Amino acid sequence: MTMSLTTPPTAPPPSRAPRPPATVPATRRRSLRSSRLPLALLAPAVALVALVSVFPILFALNLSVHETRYTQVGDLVGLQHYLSVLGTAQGWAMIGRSMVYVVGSLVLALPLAVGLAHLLDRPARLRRVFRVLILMPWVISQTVAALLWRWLLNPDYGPLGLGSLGGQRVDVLADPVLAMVALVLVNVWLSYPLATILVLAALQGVPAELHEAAEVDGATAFRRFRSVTLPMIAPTVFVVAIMLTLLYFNMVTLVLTFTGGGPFSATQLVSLEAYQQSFSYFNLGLGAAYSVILFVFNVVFGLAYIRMLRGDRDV
Amino acid sequence: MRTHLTARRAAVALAAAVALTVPLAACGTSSGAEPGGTSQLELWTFLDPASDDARGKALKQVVEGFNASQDDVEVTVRSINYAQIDAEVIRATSSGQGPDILNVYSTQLATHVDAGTLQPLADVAGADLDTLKDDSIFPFDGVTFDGEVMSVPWEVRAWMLWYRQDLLDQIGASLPTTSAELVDVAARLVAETDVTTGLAIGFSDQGLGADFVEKFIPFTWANGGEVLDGAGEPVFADDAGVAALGMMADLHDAGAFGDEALSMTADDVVQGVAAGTIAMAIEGTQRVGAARAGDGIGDNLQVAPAPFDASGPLPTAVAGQTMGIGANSADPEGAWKFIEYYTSVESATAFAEAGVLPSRSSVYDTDAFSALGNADELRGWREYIAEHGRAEVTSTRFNELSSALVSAGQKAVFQGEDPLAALTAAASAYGG
Repeated sequence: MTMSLTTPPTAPPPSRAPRPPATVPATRRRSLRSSRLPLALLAPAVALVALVSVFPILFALNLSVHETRYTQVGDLVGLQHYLSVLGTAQGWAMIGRSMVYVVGSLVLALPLAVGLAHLLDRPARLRRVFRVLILMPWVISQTVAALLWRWLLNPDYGPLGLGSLGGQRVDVLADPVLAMVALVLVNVWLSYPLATILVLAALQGVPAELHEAAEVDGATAFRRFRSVTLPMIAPTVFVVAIMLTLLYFNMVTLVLTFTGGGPFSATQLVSLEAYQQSFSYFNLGLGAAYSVILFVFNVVFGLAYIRMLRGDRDV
Repeated sequence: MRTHLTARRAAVALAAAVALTVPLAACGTSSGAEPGGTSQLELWTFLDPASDDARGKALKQVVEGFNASQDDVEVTVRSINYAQIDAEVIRATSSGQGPDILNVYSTQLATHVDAGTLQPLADVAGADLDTLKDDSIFPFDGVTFDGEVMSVPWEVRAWMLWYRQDLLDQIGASLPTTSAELVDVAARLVAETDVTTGLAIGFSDQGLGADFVEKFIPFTWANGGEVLDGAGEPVFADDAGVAALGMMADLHDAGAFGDEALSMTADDVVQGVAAGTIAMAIEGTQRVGAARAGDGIGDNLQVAPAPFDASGPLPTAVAGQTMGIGANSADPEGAWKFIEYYTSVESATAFAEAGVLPSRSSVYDTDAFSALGNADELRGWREYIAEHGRAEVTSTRFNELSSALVSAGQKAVFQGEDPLAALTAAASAYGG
């Protein structure tokens, strides 16, 4: 007697017996259930994100088109708050100053961060000490940094105060141009460590073989940096640029404590005005309009960077 | 079995919900009575009872004294930075979580009343309010809105001329008696001594130009003008306002202060006096003690009414800290009980020891006050306030007023802009 290990095709096993028609909707139900499950699992996270991210934005948008009285929301005023900013020379001057501040800080901070990260990436004695020293400003709060630099730059007793130059007393914070320059420099001093550490991390991900191959091909150090290093770290540099742009556009504490917007409103930025309108003057509607304008700038700059980054990748 | 599991899950979920809800509910409670009957009240103030500051120590002494004096009410203190306390109180009150008792600076009082953070005192204070009013050297007009007293002053301050007697002696000058003499002496102090600034006025935008406005208001009054009219509309863009800016421009043009004033706040001025880089200033009496603590300053720093003309000194704005009952307070009677204690002669004496000028006139006549080392000086300040003091300008938008005015001051004094045009622009910015 032989035993067959295969089941004759003419005799289906009991388990394969035809099921009643009700089994088809059951499969569909399982399929529906399996497709709903991920959504159900995601829902709390989505709700949380909506609550902490989207709701405040919508709330600010709503505030910006309403009259407000302290924390009470009043009548709808449409775009009146926006017109009081975008329809006046003072409003555009404020936007212009914010641009100068953001672009000026970026132009200094990014190359500085890339350069320092490049230096810190090279083998050298006391490299770790240098890394710690360079990162130190990062741990200082904006308030402390502002007060520290006000003292340092004081012309009478500050170690970095210019005092009298050519018989003329130079008070950095009393001059509109110098005050903006000083504000940008202090901002760069405060923010370059973050950029440096991110770029350094990217540099450490560049394979050494690529540099060695380029070196064998006779590429100079500058050429190796331009053709090998920079393309490899470009995505990180763009991300850092986005982060710094958002940070600079939204910065209040440093400006408020360092210059307070003066002198002659020379450092009165959109972010500071948004803060003062909301929390010093209690004009929450107008303050929200300034915040929404800032938000739009942030989105526009962020999208521009992403577009540049994609273009860079396509090339 | 399945039903049993579901029931168990529901029980666990209920327990978790209760466990989460109870602490949240506790967080939301700002005041209330404990089972024993003690009412728990919270005082929000800029002073910190845990700090080394003399006023903070006095606050601690007063609060502990009150809590020990009776069993019905227990007060705890929440200290909030003075730059943030007004916004914090307004936000908290709007969500029903405001303080039971709150400290409000008199110039911010109109804003608090407008925002509804305070409740009128008449219902709980009754006749006690009249007693306090009769005894106060702080004009009660400054705490009365629509006929309702909204808070009680416990501290009073005036703006007077601070001068370094040793430096005046060094240049052989006597105390100026007119504004013209003031300009002359201040300029000489810069030219003939090591100080950087002869007479400091802070023109910084920081602090919303508070130091500038504290000078602009009495200068305008002295020249016969007003800052706001009875309806709260700006009226400073006139001859008196121009003359007030003119007085400041005279000081600047004579060299009494230079561009360094553009980045000076009231704090910077006081620190400059304490550091010896500023010879004279018109500053608040509440800061004299701090300035005298500077190295080598001590009694060299003297205080006198600021000069104006032969007919008398400059008038002074009178401002100060006040105490009121929060709109959300569940126990206004208990809150008033504390305010009564806080504004008592005993408490005022404790604060006077910390350099605070008492708002109650009767305090100055007590033996405890007379025993203070600076009693005579404080009595002199009280007399100046009584004769030449006016309640500080109040506005629901005082911060905007201040900000607009300092901008006008900067342009007129440092950039040579027409003062009337600068003030008109400020009035428009404020009015708009």
